[in-house]
Amino acid sequence: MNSGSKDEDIAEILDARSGQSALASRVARPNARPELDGLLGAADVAWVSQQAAPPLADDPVAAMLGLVPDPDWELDGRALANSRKRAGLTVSSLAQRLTRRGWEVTNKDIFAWEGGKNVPRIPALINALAEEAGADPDRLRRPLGADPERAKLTAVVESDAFKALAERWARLQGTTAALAASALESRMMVAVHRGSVPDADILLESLEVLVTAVEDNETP
Amino acid sequence: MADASIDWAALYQKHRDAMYGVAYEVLRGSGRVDLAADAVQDAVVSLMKAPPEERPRSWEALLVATAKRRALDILRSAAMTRGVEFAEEFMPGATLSEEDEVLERLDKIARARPAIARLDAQAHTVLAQYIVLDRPRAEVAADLGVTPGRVSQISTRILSEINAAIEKGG
Repeated sequence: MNSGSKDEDIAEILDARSGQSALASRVARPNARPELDGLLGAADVAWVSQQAAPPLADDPVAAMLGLVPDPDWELDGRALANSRKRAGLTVSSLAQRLTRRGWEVTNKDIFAWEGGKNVPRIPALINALAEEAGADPDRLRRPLGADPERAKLTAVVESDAFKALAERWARLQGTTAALAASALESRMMVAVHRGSVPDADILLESLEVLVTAVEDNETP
Repeated sequence: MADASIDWAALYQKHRDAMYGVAYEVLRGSGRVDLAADAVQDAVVSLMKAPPEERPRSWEALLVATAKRRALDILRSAAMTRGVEFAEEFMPGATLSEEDEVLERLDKIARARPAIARLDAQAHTVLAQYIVLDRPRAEVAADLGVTPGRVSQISTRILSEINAAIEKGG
């Protein structure tokens, strides 16, 4: 390969990757020139820069944290405006508080939501808004039409076991039982989206494992 | 216990792409990128369980370094099941130097992005299909109506531009 041009040498290493990184593929080829490493490293940086997390609806962690939009509930813009004013907050100070927590929320977003436009359905965001405005999160959301996909989970969601798990999750997350239930329901929907049969016992068991894992070391 | 003063949802939403990226990167060599979700979930659960006592220098570095550590743990346990020695010593959480390494890596990725965004349509296809998706060079060449040799030329040019962008900021 010493006789080949630089283009050919690099292509040969890239062609031989078969799933490996470009640098790993170079190391596996004893004749390859180490001076190509800068460019091969750039191939690996380019590779990772193009990777992304799965869509929110398929991401179990996003679901458990309440980041998957809830098809049944949305933010009540008018209730948000009332709570914000009652708390003595301006739109920009509320936006700043959310930004400090890590949310990418602008003044414009909050104006739009309060006017009933593009209102979010993300339970975690509604919870953050409620916390910052000192309001009960359940009063900041209003119901939408029912979702047939979710109806499959009705039996599970209405079970006492699920309600108990939701209360434990609410305590861990510092939120209300209703919002915690919404997050856990989304978590189960990830399994449903992946095509597994939503067997009630299995779904409850996997939630139990998750909640226990987080609260595990709570007691000294 | 889980610290209710930390908004895990907001932090995760902001940094989950980078967490998955590093997990894919660790796992790609073993052909088990399907385990990335496990690594990311383990990382989030372990941080929620034992949150940092002080505000970290960078949440992104902490989250990503922990995801990387969990992905390495998964590789290690897979290696152990196969009876293969795994050299790296086990450490439960991400250490400071691991966070520095991750910050440096994230910095390189951030510098590469604008260079990638400047590529023309043909170069972009070579990057996405050949360099990233690892499709056979001949197939990508056929899609573009050029020779495989031309694809390797374009590929080297792209990599030189990206490398220059990465080096410039360093």
